[in-house]
Amino acid sequence: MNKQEFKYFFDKYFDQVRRYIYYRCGDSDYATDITQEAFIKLWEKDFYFDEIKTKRLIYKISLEMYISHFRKRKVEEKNLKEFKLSFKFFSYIDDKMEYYETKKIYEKSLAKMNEKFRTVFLMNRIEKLTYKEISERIDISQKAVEKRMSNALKLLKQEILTYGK
Amino acid sequence: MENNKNIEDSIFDNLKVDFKTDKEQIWADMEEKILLKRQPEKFHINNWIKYSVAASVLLLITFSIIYINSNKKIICDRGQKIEHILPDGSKVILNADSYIQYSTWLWRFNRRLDFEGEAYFEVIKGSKFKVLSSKGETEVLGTSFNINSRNNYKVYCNTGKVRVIYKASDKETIISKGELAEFDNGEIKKIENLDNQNIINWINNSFVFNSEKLNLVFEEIERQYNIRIEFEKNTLSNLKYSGLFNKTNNVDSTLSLVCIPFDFKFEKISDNLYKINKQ
Repeated sequence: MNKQEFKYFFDKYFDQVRRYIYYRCGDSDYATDITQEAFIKLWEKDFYFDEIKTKRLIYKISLEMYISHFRKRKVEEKNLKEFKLSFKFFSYIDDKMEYYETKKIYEKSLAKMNEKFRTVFLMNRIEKLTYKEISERIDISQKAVEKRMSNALKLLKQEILTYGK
Repeated sequence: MENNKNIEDSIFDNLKVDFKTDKEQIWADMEEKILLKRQPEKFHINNWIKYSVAASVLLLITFSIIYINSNKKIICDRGQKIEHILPDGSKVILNADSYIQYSTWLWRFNRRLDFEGEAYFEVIKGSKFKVLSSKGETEVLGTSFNINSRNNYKVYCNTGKVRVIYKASDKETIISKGELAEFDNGEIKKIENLDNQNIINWINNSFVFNSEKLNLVFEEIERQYNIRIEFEKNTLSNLKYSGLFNKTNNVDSTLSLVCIPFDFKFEKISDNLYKINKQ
C-alpha cells in the first residue's frame, strides 16, 4: 500500500470505523485513539491494497485493538453510566421535555445493553444502514445482525416500560 | 407505545455523533508518524534490489565465462591444411591461411560459425547450419560445399542445396549440386554444370585453374608453400592461366610449371622469397 492509497483509504473509512468503535465503547476520545492506532498498524504492516479486503481488515484490527485495550482497563472504567446521545438541532423539536426525557431513557438503556447489540442497533438507527450493509462492514452474517437487532429491541422495550411506570 | 415509537424515530433522525478532533487534524498528526515508521521497510526494499542486481551480475559473469571458455578458434596457417570435426560430427577441411570460430556450448542450440579463407564443409543433416563471413553468409541443412571468401565470395555446392546471402547487396540465391555462386561487382553469377574436381581438389593437394588471373594463381602458390613472390611492375597485367599444380611437388617445380608457358624466369632470393622476371 503506498501513501496515496493509504490517504484515500483513510479519508473514506476513518470516520465510519471511528463511529463503530464509539458505538461499542461509548467514549469518543477513546474511539479516536483506537482507530488512529489501528490505521497506523495497517500502514506498518504494509498489506497489498485491495479496497474490499483492506476495509474488512481495518474493522478487524480496530476491534481487536479495542478488545485488548478493554481488557487492560479497570473495572469501574468498563461500566458505562450512560451512552451519550447529542442532537443536531433543538429549534424545531416542539415538546423538548418529552424528547429529553426519552433521550435520557435511551442513554441509560444503551449503557446497560450488551455492546454488540448496541453497536448494531446504533448503526441501524443513527447511520440508517441496512442489515446487509452492517453485515458487510463488521463481517458477520445478516442472520447475526437480525438476531442482535431483535435482542437490542427486546431489551429497550423492557427498559422503556420499566421507566414508564 | 405508539407515541414512543414516533419520538424514537425523530430522536434518532436528529442525532449526531461528535468527536473532538476531526479527520484532517488526525491525518496531520499521523502523517509524520507513518513516514517515520515505514523507513526500515524502504531500506528492506533497497536491499532486495541490491541482492537481485548482485545475483544477476553473477549470473551474467557465469554465462560469459562459459561462453568465453567454450569459444573455439581453429586457425590454419600458410602452407598448412587442417581437417576439423565439429561437435555434431560435421567435417571442415580448412585450406591454408583460413580460420573458423564457434562456441562449443552454443553449438547444440545453434549451428553457426565465423569463417574467413577457403574451406570445404561436409555437414551432417540436422538444424540450420550457418557459415558467416565478412562478405557473405551460407546456410544449409545438410550437404557438402566449398566456400572461398578471399576475393569474390564463391560458394560451390557439392551435394544437396545451399543458400548463399551476399551481405553488401543483401541479395541471396539458392544453388544445387554442381553449381557455383560467385559475387562479382554487386551481381550474383551462377555457373552451372561444373566439374567438381576442379574446385574441391585442393583437398587432395591438387590445385586446378581454369583461365584464372595469374596474380591469383601466384597468390595461391604463396599460400600453399608459405613463400613470398615478387614481380616487376606490370608483369602480370591481365594474363590468365589454365593448368594445375600438385602441392606434393616442391616449390621450384611448381613455379617452373606455371612460369614456362609465359616465358618467365624465377630466381630464389632466400628460403621464403622468390623473384619472377620477364625473359
